[in-house]
Amino acid sequence: MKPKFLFIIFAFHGLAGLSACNFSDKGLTTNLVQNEALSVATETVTPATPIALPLVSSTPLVPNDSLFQLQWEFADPRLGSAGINGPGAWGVTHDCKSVTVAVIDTGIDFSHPDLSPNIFKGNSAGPGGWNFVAGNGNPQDDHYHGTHVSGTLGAAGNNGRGITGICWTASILPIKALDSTGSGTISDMVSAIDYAAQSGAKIINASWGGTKYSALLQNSIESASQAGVIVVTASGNGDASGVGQNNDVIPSYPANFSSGNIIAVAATDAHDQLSSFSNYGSTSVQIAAPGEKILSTFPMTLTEGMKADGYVASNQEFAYLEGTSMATPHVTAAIALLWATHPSLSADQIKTYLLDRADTVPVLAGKVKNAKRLNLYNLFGKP
Amino acid sequence: MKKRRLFRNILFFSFLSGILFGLWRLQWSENDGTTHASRGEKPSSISTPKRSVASTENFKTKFEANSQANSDQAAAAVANDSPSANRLPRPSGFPASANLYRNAEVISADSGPGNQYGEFIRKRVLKTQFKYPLVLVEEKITFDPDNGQEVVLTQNAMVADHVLVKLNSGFGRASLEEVAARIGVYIRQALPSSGIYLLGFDGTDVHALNRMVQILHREGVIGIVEPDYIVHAN
Repeated sequence: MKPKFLFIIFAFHGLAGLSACNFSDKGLTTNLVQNEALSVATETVTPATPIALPLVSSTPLVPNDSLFQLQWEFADPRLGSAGINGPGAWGVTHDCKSVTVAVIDTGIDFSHPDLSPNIFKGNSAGPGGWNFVAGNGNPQDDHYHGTHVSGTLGAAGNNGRGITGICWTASILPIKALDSTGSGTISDMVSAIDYAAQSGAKIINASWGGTKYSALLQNSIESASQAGVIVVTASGNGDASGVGQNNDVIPSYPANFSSGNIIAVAATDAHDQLSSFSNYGSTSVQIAAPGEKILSTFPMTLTEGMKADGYVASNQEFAYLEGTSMATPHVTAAIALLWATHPSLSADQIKTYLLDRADTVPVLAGKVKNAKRLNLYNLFGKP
Repeated sequence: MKKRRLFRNILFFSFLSGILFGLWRLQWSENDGTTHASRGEKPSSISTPKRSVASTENFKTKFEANSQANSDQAAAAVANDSPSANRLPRPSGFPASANLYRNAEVISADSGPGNQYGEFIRKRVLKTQFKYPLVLVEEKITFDPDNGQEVVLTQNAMVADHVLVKLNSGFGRASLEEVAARIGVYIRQALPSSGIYLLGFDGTDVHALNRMVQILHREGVIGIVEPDYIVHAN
């Protein structure tokens, strides 16, 4: 189990991306005004689906974040890309603030300017995160994995700098249960899941896994299910050689738990192919999402985990990583957007709708259940 | 004759297209911006230090406990910005565990008999920098027939000196303490939200964990007993 780092690209402080920005503040304002006036029309989703939600006509909304053009995964698949059509969806909604999303990972870099506005600040249900590795209330990332995952999910969008997360505004509950090597125990994962559910999180992002079945971990996930929590988890990054395995044959957990609230995510590349490292399974993996060359937030200072993995720079804010870990937060954030828009839906309804509205990508047949790849726009917009 | 010429031509064009395709792929992999071409040119200020996917050999070398030299060389290469800096050797499998077990001290070890394919199970208790330093690592090992080098096929790790237990309904901490005193374990931690207990014991022997799981399975107080497995970021 591992993060995949075939390509790692640092984007240094303030230098990067300015030239990539083709979208002026003025242009954005125009888009926002258009959105307020967008025509809202409803239509019934295909008769076979158990729920029908209103679908909206909208103008694509492109954020002004300076590195946005490097986030290939948000391109519109109708134009031949392998993206999930972020701008199309953002033309309808980009606010997830009302839905608390727990990221159980290596922590988060609180000082990152693209993340700090979207970190859960705590409420009556509990403080703003926990560190189960150290046993204290400081889930600061001493690796980089959690910071990267969090950025894909909810880096501040349309703030004129860096990248954009799928949720432009978010409520990320950072829970540190993986240490500075990216490793953790089942006991800490169980505690983290319980904590997330008790803190009011509706979704848990679990970009981690192992090959051994744990009844106690499954119990914990099923308890969270009873509280209406969805757990989105990575399918896994293949064998010792980094070649994707069939989870239907060689299980990976929690991805392979049969719990109804689990969504296991495989990774696809910029050509809509299953990533070579991605685990797959026509029955055990529910959906795929972009997981290669994903640009996202990186710790502002050199962490212990970064040093161990050979990083020498200390001032990078953004980096490319790849892995099913990187695919997972795309799905997590899509659920957050959906739930923020339709708060009365149950976890089952959300999951069913998400999977039903995903694109069918023929090449994923036999690899992912119903050959589905996430499409953000389809959740909200008219075809 | 015609058939032969046709066959030769087909062979030639296949070869040529193979080379062209290879060159195209090479360019694609070298030029990260290409994948973003439809979204605009990559800003020149983004540097692209790349890292190769390490071979299994690299993984094995790096994984070996007490084998700091290899990673030191890699770090030095990066620090010196030498031509090899962009080719930082890193494991293609289990990198989190490779870091976890770096510089680990082998406390105890045992290997099972090989099967018909030459594969065998190796168990080692390592003293690591992990939250719970004693880690039991179980690996399926084989040897590369070409060079005789060891290849790790699968790997599972767990905390070596405690297990997780959940009590059967109707039993509480007092019952567990009674069991613990009788069999010589102690309650390392209780997780109130889930009702799980971490039962600690001397886990330095490579077989201690398995023995403890078997012993606790026989206790009527205990509903579930399992190792505290280690999971990794994906």
